[in-house]
Amino acid sequence: MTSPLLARRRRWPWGGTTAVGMLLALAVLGPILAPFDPLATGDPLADALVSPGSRFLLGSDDLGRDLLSRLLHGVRLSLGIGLAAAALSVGVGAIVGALAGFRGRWTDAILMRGVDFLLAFPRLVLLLGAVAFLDRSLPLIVAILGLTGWMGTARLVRAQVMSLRHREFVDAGRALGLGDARLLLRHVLPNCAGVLLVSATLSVGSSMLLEASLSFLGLGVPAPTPSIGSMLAEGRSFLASAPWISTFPGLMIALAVMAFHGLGEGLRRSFDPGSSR
Amino acid sequence: MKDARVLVSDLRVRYRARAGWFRPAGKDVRAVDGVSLAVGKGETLALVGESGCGKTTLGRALVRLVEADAGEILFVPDDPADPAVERVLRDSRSPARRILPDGRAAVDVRRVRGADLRRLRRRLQIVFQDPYGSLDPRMTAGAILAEPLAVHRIARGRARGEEVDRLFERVGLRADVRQRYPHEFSGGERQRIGIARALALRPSFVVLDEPLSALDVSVQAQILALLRDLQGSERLSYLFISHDLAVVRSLAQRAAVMYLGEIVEEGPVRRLFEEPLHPYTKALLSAVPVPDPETRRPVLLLSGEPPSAASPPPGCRFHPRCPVAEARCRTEVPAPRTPEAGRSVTCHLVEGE
Amino acid sequence: MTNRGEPLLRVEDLRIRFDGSDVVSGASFELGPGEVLGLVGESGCGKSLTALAILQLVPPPGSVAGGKVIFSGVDLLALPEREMRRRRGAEIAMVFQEPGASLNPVLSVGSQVAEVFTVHRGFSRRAAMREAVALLERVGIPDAAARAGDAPHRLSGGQRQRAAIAMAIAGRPRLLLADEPTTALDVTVQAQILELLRRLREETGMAVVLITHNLGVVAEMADRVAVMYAGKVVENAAVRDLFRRPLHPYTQGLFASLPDLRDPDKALLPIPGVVPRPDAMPSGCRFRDRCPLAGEICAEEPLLLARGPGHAVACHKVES
Repeated sequence: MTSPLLARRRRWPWGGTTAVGMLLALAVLGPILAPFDPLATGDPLADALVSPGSRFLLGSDDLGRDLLSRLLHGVRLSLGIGLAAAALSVGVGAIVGALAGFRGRWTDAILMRGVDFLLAFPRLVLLLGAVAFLDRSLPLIVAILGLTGWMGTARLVRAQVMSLRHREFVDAGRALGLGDARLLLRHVLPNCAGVLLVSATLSVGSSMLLEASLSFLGLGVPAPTPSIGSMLAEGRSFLASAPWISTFPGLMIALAVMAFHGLGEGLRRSFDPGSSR
Repeated sequence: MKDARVLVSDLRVRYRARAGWFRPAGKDVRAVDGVSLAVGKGETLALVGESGCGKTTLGRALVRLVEADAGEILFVPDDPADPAVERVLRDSRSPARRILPDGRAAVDVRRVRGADLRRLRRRLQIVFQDPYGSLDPRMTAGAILAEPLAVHRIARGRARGEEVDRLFERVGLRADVRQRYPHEFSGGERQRIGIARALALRPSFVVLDEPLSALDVSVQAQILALLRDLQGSERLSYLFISHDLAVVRSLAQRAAVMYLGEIVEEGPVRRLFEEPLHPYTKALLSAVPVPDPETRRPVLLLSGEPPSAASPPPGCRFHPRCPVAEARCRTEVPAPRTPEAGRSVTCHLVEGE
Repeated sequence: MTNRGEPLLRVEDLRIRFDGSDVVSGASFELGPGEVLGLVGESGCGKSLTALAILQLVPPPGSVAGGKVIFSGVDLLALPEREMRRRRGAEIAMVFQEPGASLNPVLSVGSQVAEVFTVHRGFSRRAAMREAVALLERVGIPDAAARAGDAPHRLSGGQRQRAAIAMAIAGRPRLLLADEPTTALDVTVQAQILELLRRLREETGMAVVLITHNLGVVAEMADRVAVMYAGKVVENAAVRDLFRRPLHPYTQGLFASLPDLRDPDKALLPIPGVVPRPDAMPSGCRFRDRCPLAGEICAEEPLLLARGPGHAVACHKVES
């Protein structure tokens, strides 16, 4: 029969889902469809700075590399990092939030003060600090992004858990002899699915942006791996002469983030129809 | 009481008012303030009262959803070898083990802990008022009934499925609804699921916390019939908490009237309703609207409203609203007295032992 | 109906749509000046929506899809919003189930009652406040002058409901719609509020539509009763007639299933089945699937017809 996840929907946000779906398809299939090798440089005279057209669909950069191919690879990287970091954030946030919300009292007080403390640090600065001291690598960036972005989720999950823990079906479970662990895992957390989904989609968006920022500053995934941020940086010097080098990556990241945010907002509105119309 | 299933003595439950950062500690709320009662085997004791009297807290304390602060709750099993109580009763040094004056073994419900408590819960169950809120909206009906069986390791594999089916049928639901989610059922059906869940562990004693109040009038009769039927076939003892006096009269054998944390009158339902003795009981009964336009009965209108349990009035707690209060009611706390066999009233103006 | 003079309120064939189906279809009843009509039914029968429709306050996505609501000779459903607003609070007022649902939690109780005096009766602010305090006292709130400055949450449930009643009658309405005004209150407080309503009605002569599912309340308060089931009025009679001789099988079923304090040994006969959902209504008579008298003719929707003086029933199987 219809699961409650689908049943109480006002309307599933198909727009956002389609957008994100297309993005994911692009990320997976893109590199296969890429016409050129993203790293292959070309002849400095014939291939460099060619405007978008029949030869290079989105143009080429100053080293003669095809922008379209680079973009497709870059999107895959951004999305991959965004999803991985979001998964980490939401995972950690859910655990911390659930513990704080369910246990209450001291556990809650300590954990929440920790959250407040970490929230006081600007995320980008933390990231910069980390990459400055440690060797840059893909896993490190995902780890830092994930470990600095869980606090918002923790707060949301905590609020949801606190409102759930006094619901009668939790009391009913207790009366049947269920222990705290089982109550939390089997009854409370599944009822947080809505909050977690929304948190996750929004988290992907912000992680992607942060990764792009890092790469833009030259501190992201090391070259020559094509990443949207570094493409943006490379195109800076050619904004007047060859604007396509920065524009297309910029558009791409903007659309990607909008797609995820759109999905997240749509999900939030459909799970919580009362809040904003 | 002979043949008691549950014996409660001088139970007290207090909600502490904790001090905040800027707020000094307020008064404690004595939700249950010295309640003693007994529920016999296979019998229904109704607990009647208005909001704030503590009846819900009392019900929850009996199944240890809320921890009492003082007093005793004794559970008397049919057979000391019952796996729900065996460990506790076998250990002669267990603090939860009790021997009654007549030699029967009983369990001190408040003193049981850990795995022993979990086992004991099989015999003490509760059905809640809100049929929707008491079911996990994410679990199918079948899963809701299977869970207690799984946790207590009753029946495995196919036997568990069959037991779930049997429970569905016992409460009047077709077994093919097991895949449905709570929101797909009506209020009455949800309450049946809640009842089935309480029955899954084969309890001896069930607290029914206003089980009919949230249901439509035409469905109430159905559920009432079901509860009566189950009491006979499963030999259950009920503590039936309700504010609906008409329902109480039709289901219960004995009734206790609660006011502000105390029991003010108790006795066989028939006597209580025919001849109420405590002024509050009289007012309560006279306030129930009677479905007959011809009778214009005199209503004993009480003044004011039930006061807060945080600062109960001195002397007899009912005196500020009592139409017949005397001087000593304001200062002296009345002691319970026995005007006739099997009845107890706590009022200065009632004669008795 | 018998001629009792021009009715104050006549609802004719009211139809309310909600989410694609008719949740109220063909509700008809009338009410004379100063009369109390008990509108009885279970949850989902449409009685609350009917009351809201009288005030043209049916919340979207619901909407009134047909019928007439004639109040003092004027069809309210045909009026523009401006005209309705003049009547709301002044000629017709409403009290809700949740004690104090009509009270704004951040404003003082007194100022909210006073607002009715300034908006509908043209009092100055100071005079309105004086009247408000007097009215709060009249509805039985002890220490009214002090309580008038309190926010609603500082009052008890019963007092909040009294304040809501004060707000409702401040405009001196000719018709009061009371939607389960005592359902959420303790039984001793309920008795007090019902006594208050009775007294106010005697003092002001206003008519009351009292919505409830409690037949005891109906017996105590109402002059006439309209029984609703699944969006239709199925029986309409003077209160004594209804209780002495209920004609519709649903009404009879209700009486048979209720425990009666005076008759403890009464065998309770539950009505089998459940109320059909609005999107799954049986064709013809809506009570068919649960009715012991159902027959083939019940595939046709029965009309509300008079079966006795002042007693109308919507059922094929009833003899006059």
